[in-house]
Amino acid sequence: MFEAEGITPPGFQDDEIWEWEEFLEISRIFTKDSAGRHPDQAGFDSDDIVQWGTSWPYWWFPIGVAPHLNGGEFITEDGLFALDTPEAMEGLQRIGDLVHKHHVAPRGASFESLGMNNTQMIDSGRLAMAVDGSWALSWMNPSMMSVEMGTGALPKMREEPANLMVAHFHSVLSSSEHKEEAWRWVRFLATPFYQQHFCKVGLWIPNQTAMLTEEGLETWIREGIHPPNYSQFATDFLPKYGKALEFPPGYQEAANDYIGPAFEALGNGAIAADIFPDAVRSANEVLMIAKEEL
Amino acid sequence: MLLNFSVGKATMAALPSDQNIGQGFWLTRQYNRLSLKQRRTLVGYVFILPFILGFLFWWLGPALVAGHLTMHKWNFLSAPRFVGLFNFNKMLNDPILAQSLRITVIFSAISVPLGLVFAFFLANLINAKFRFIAIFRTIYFLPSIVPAVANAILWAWLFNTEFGLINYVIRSFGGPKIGWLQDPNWVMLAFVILTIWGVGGSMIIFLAGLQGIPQIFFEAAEIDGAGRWQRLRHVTLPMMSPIIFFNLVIGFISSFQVFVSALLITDGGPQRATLFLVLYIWRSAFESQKMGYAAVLSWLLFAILMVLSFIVFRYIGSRVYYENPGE
Repeated sequence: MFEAEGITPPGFQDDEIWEWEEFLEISRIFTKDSAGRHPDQAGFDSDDIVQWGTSWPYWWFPIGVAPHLNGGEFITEDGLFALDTPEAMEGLQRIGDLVHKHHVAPRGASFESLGMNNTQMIDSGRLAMAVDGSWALSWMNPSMMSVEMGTGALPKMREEPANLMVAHFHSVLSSSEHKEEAWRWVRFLATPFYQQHFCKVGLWIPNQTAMLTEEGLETWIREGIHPPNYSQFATDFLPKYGKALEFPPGYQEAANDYIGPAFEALGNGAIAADIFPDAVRSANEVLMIAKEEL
Repeated sequence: MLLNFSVGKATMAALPSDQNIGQGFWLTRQYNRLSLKQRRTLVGYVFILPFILGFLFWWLGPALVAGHLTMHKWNFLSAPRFVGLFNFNKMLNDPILAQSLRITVIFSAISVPLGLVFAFFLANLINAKFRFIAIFRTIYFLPSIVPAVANAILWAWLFNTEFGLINYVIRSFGGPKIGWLQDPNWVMLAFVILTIWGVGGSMIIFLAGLQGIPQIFFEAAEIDGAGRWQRLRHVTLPMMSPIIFFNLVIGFISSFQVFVSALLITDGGPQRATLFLVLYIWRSAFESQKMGYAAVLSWLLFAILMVLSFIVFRYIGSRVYYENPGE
């Protein structure tokens, strides 16, 4: 699709990362209704789009990065939601606008866990760009897709590019009767031997610097899974712009009860500034209670 | 004993009544020393043992543990901590529970009557006698045996806003693009449709009931000049009332237990519009790790179903017509 339109896809180097306006403009070029009209053309029917420029889902990970792209934060260092700051809400609003104002993103694929997803849409030529977790590379990769595909950094809304990083933790319970065995197990799970398997298939990105050296990269970067520029994502982009996201106690409940529904409301066309102050207040109350109970 | 009579009678033929059989085994010798009445009692209990064990281990046991947990906080990791009435207090001041209860009641109030009428209508259709009727019966029954997960995936596709078949049909008639699973105002209707699709079970029960009505009643009514509608109103409905009542009670109970489709298709969303009570209980227990609170909510669900069943039995059950009462 990029070749046909003569557009250079974004990359991970500083001069390859798009500005938000550029991203919007290119999304418009890719978006067409059944008569071939683009969103900025007269007579464009936003209810009859057959090809979309982008898909930016409304679940916490893809949408949670929006505040960071705009100079705000999803969760602060103190372990509280910060989605109600002006920067955060402006960032969130820009994602909502992709569907409801600019008509460059589909609504249907926003938060359905079943049904047609971004992979199938890209594969069938209905979608040009999908925002998703890096783990999606384990099913959305060059050897699995019938179209040529690549990866690039998210467009920046202000000066700094940004991305969120999450990891899962292994812990040993202090009440465990087998601390030594448990510790050895955790150590095994952290070995390059164990991690390589998941990195090779595209599911994980290694968090050990030893696996980011030239020799280290060879142990997990695989042709057919990782696009040619992918190692730059791990070695250059993430160390510079990646922000580790830490989930505070009570996160799941606060997210289920308040933050998730607010993201969904945004997906339904609500204005960020109308919903996030209340949602964040209620959610942060849950977090503070959970913190006290620790 | 009430139980051993009917069970014992039915199974005596299969019992080793001959004293010589298997004399070498200790158990058999013990059994042989019992009187006939004791044997019948014992065999009766053995036959209902699967139910008794299931009831104790999977129902009464967990229910009592849950009862104990209502007064505790427990997050699975550390030991339960006694908190008195904290969880009950939380229940009374939980706006999300109020919303969850509201949507569960609305769903029940819409889907149960509609489901009954639709199942009754289908049962009448497939009660006809013509060639290949078995094929139609199978087709209409089939949805109710589709596994819940497959069912969820199927409907998520059908209801898809951009690519779903349902919106495709609506739009080909010039209708709007409906956000079936994204719009909080539409998602309830989507769940009602999805539920009504699976009425095959109650349809079959209705069909059995319809076929149990003696033909002579219809003939007598016809001779008296009753038309199609009057036969339905004065013969079919009264004769079917125990079946309708049964389906109503079962329908209410199952409508309060919607879980799989809500978890898989919408995960309680959009904007909590499908956060049915059981899903909220599950989330409280296994996502928020509040077992005590989940236990309170489970008992609340039980209490609601008890009261509801009582009301249905008291006010609707008394209007049910039984042809042979007491038999």
